[in-house]
Amino acid sequence: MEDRRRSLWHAVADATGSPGQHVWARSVCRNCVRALPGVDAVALTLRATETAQDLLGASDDWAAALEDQQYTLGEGPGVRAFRTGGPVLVDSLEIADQHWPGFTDAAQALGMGAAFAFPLQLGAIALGTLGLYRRTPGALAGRAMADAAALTDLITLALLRKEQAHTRGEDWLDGMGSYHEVNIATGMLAARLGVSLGDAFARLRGHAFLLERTVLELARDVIAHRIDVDDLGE
Amino acid sequence: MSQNSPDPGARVIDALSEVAEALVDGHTDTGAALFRMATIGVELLSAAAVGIMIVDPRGGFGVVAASDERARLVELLQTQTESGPCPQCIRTGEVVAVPDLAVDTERWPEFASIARDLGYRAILAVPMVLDGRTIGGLNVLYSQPTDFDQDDHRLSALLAALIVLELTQETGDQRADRLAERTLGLLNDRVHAGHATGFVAGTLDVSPARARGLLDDYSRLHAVPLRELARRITDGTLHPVELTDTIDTE
Repeated sequence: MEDRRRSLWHAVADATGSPGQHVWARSVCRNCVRALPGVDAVALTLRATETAQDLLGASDDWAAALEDQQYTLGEGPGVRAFRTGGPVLVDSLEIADQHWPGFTDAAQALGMGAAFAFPLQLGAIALGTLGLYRRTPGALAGRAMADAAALTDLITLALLRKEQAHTRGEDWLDGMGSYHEVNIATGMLAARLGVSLGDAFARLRGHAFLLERTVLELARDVIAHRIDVDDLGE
Repeated sequence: MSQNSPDPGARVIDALSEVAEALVDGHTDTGAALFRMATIGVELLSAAAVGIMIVDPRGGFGVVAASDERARLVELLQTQTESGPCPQCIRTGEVVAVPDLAVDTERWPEFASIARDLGYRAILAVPMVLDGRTIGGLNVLYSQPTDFDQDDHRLSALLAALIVLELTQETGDQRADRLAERTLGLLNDRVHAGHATGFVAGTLDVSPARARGLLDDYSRLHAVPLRELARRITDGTLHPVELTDTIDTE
């Protein structure tokens, strides 16, 4: 399992550019296509609200067009995934038609067979969605599903990084298996510092790295008031 | 039954009726239904605590419900990220019984140590199986050393099956899709609840346990699902201080 996770990490970490850049997003999307069997194209869209979205990058123009249709029509798997906070797996146009007739017409014209949308999120921190597309219908195979979910996590963490400097590989993996105390500490920091949850989480991780401690250890200190929150202010 | 109790038959019927009710009442809040089933499980199995863990599609295992969210039960369960009685039962598809965590300390020393610190002396880990595949595990914890008997095994297996039913209420080809969607959604809901709890704790300067209590009380009194309440807290629609109004009006 660890080997697989590391190879998925490479798909995100080895992308050109820095997280947040268009060139980075396109590179990540192309790496995802290579990593995921049964997926023809991938798009990464940032979303602030259900209606406000910004395509950060896509593996090709086809995926970009499918994302753009959802923006134009205000409906689709990505829109729904962002709204509901869970992945939306659409195995066929028939199923898509049950939910989004407008989008389905456009998708059919573009030759889409199946779509799988994953929210780029960590609890209340919602950044956008990762859209996976295929020209033929069918479910996303078990292994590809698991890998897509893991890639979504890794991309979310990459986008939340405060420092752009790349560090040891393990730093990318320590956010996995989200710990309850880390989530609580994130909320406490956001409240006490008056910053967003995404910002609070990034500071927690950033300072853990600087202090050479694990995020979980630092989180416990925050909860137990063993650390002065202002020290994490910047 | 291993625990003495008056009229065990009636107790079982009551508990199972509640579980069935949780399954069929047309709700959409799976997290809340699972919590109900965990608390019913405590009654049904005469246990100290019950936790429900599930195979995370991204790898490893995650907690989806616990009979007590305010105690350190969740943290105990989460020590089982790679190994422990529950991961063992999930991997093998067989029940793992540890009658005395003070005696059986070799297999999972960290889990046994923390469990004993929290006052748990025995655990029964029961696989949750769907279509021949183990998708999660039910953790049943006791505060006394316990020789698990036939009834314990059968009742816990029954509860495990009903939990699987709750997780996968869908028929046909879409069942695997729905489970995946629901699992990732549920796990994210818990992260979200953690964020909300921490935000309330930090804003009101109270402990996380107290903050969680305020959220639960408000959720119950105003009939707002925790999932929705957490969203309102974290997007700023509801200020944490409004959670304390609940107490003043009682």
